[in-house]
Amino acid sequence: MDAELLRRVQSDDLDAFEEFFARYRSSIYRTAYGLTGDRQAAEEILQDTFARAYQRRHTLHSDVSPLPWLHRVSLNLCYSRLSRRRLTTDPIDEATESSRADDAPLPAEHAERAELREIVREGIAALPEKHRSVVVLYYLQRLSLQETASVLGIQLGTVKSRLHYALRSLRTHLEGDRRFGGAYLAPNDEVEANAS
Amino acid sequence: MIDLGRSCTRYRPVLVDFVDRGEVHPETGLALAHLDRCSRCTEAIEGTMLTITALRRLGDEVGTVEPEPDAWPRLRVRITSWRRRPVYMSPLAGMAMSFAIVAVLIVPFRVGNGGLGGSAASPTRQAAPATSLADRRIEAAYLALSRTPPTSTSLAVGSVPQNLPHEILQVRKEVHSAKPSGRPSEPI
Repeated sequence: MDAELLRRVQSDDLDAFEEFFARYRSSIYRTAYGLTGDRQAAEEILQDTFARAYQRRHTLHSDVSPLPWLHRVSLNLCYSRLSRRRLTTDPIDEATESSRADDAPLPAEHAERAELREIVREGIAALPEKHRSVVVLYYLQRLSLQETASVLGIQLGTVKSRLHYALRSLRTHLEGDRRFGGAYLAPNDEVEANAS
Repeated sequence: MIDLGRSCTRYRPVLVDFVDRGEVHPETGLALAHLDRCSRCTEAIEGTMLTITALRRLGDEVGTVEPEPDAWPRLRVRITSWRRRPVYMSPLAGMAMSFAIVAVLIVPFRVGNGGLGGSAASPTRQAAPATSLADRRIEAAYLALSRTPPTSTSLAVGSVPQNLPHEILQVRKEVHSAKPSGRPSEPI
């Protein structure tokens, strides 16, 4: 299906490009948002990524999914943007508030979650670039290890190693933050299930 | 003698793989046995589990965000503007044309000191008067000349206008035939 769509995109069919955009936009937008933490920046990176995809549509291989390539482009755009200016890391709260209308938690619980998110986001932002990428793709975007390796163009073992160091740095960061008490860990948490 | 520090370094990645992804390595059993008796690893793995949980919660929330509904219309406008833009020439020809334009603009400034070069290179007011004084006098003379209608006596063909400034009037030299001086000619 990807191959047929890509062939139509390459033949300059704008409707096919719209379908292509609709298919991959959420994934690219979330990667950009996970890395920048800024909705406006993520919107701009989304636009630039697909604008570049349109310009390079003739070089895309129809036998391979374009998603890793799109992710790579968006990651590079994020890094160039982050190196130009320090983005605020706050708006994740605003972005997720709108999607939680009916099942909104109590105000106190909501505030606690928001604070924890902020701590984690600060920890991710403090990571070196290469560690931040694997964390965003693997934990926030829920790509598999193999997909993460493919997007970043690195070995599977390198992904594991970077995840290990990133987790260690994040743990140190979170433990050093007085706001991070660990009280939010749910009793029926999946991590506990894995460990038991 | 058991070196707990070295065991911690060895088993901790195995334990993280286990609690994060449920991966079971050949050493996982030994690592879990080590975990039972190592308080440092227990503390570290608990902290790692909390970190992973926090990341996954953040991932759950990031997974709900969507781009603005006008994302495609904006991109479409951008793409359509490219499609409408006519292609006049190949990139190579465009580069050649650019070099030609730059050369045409720069060469007059670089070659010699004429044209606009003098004023562009040294836009000071002191440079001009040295030459412009004589020029102005000549120009004034020509203007005066143009106001008076030409007559057959004042502006005959090949003659020089008489109302030109003195220093630019041509001085006619009389040429006489050479007379022998009486001295003997020198050998060449």
